[in-house]
Amino acid sequence: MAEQVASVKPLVEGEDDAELRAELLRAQQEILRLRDLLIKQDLELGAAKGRLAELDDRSARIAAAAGRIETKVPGLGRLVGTALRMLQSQRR
Amino acid sequence: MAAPRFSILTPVYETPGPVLEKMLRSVRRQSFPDWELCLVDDRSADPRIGAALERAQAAEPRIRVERRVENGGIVAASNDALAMARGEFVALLDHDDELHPDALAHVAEAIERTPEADYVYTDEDKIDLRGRHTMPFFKPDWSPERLRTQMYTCHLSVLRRSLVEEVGGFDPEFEGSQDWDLVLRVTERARAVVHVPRVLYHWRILETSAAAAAEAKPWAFEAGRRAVQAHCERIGLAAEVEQDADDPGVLHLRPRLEHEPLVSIVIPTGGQVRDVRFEPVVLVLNCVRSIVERSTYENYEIVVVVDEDGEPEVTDELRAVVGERLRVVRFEGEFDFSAKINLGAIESRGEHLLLLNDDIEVSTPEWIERMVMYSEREGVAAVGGRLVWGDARLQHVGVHFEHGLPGHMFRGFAGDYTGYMNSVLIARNCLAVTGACLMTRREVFDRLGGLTSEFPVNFNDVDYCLKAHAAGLRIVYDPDLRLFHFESSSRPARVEEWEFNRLVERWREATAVDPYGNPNLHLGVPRLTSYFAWARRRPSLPWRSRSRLR
Repeated sequence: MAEQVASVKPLVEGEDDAELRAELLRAQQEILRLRDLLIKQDLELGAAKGRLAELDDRSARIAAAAGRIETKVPGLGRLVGTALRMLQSQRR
Repeated sequence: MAAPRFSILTPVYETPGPVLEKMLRSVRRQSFPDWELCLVDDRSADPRIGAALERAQAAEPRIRVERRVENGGIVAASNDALAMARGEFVALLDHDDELHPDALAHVAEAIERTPEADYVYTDEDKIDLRGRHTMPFFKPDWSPERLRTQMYTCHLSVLRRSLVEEVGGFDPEFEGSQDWDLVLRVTERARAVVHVPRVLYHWRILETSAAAAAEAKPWAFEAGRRAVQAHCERIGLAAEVEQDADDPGVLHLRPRLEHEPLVSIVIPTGGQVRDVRFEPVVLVLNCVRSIVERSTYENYEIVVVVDEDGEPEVTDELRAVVGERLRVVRFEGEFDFSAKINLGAIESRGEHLLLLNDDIEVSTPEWIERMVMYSEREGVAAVGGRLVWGDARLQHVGVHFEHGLPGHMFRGFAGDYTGYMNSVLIARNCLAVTGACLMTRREVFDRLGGLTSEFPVNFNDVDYCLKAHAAGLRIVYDPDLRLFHFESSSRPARVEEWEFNRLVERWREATAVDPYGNPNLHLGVPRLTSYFAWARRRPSLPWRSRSRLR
């Protein structure tokens, strides 16, 4: 371990110091840029997930209502589905 | 002739013939017979209107008509109709709208159940240009904070006539929003306000009516803003009222505090590290940094309640960030969120306590001012705000109850989701707000016994709010108070079954029906069947009215 420190030391303190610092700064800036990009992407993803949650909620409500109707009038859901499909095919 | 129970006030001006006829018919077919209709023609140019009104009067003795000698506008005509009224209550009906056949019957029953009711309002819907019922508005029970940011009670409004006269009737200064102004003035003095959760009023959409578009009557919205501003000044609410940039029907209250009482921000923490915006941070440091750097409020202290085995480096860093405002309290014993908060409260000196989770980050500079603005109100026990996750999705916009169980409304929805009838955008009352960010007056906190250790992990905040509700106090959600809450969005908080059971046991009666919900709403959104609510008749379904004493 001590050897490793000794081998790194000249690099930090030696003539390449300025170059190394500049490189480090560039790397840090790149990390920040990528992090900002990641945050932006995360916000976009959040917006999409949010919309999905709204749609999920809506479809769950429709499914629940359909379920209730189906329980009260068995077969009605299938009949309505068939009727809708027939209407759609006529329109085409 | 004995005075009737209800006087329906209807100013008439240039009403299309068929529409006027429909309005008259909707009154004549009321199942409750004890009414009079006070019609005031505001000097309509079309002679057929006068003739139609005369015919209606001749055919029905309960219809009374007066004609103004000159056009005076809706306020003057409404005041004339009020002067004609002999009923115990006045019901406001626009000349182009319709009443449900059982409207007055339901209102009469509600008054029968709550004799001290001075103001009764009902749900409503709209009739579109093709005559179809649409856009039902299912309202909460009496929510004074909501009325300051949205004219939600609107139609049908039935007010005790003596009180309307006491406050001076309709004010011409607020022409276009004279009803909002009147309701504000009446409710400031009302003994009880009652909501009938039934669609009993049908608001007709005409091209010129405010129901069609905000652009139709911009001055009416401005009058509404001024009416709320005047109301705030009357009741001593230190706020400036502003119109929403996108929806003129939505108002925002901006705090204008005259003094800054000491606020104690109590933050329990274990000194955890978590990724915030893709970088590991010590949560409590991130939280207090945001408070110190962004808050515009001056008079606060931060009381951090740390676990006994907490890292001393974190405390040192806290001192470096906060300085003299910081008080560190060591908590000994097993994890008990309630006990931590109570300990922090004991060690604090503020007039207001602000309970804050360490995974919160402040984004609204005037967040403390906003909370103090509401927290100072006598009838308010707790204030919360709009919390979003790091990716801006909604985490908390108030707690609602469904079958006695609490839940976060619209949790996980997009950050710009406005909610049913703008419920995310407007200030309103709810049964509870999250303890992740909750302000309460110390006096109320002490009176309610703080947070209970019956709920050491979950529901202690909900329980606190329900104790306040049971004591007749209100909980406020402020949408303009926005904070980040870096709780894990993918992993819901673990709630044990016994916690649910204990909450239901304790608060079964108060939460069986959420007064700030509506029987036609499920999780804050209309049920599919509710779109036929306008067609329901009285004998078929039992109904319930709820009152909130102010």
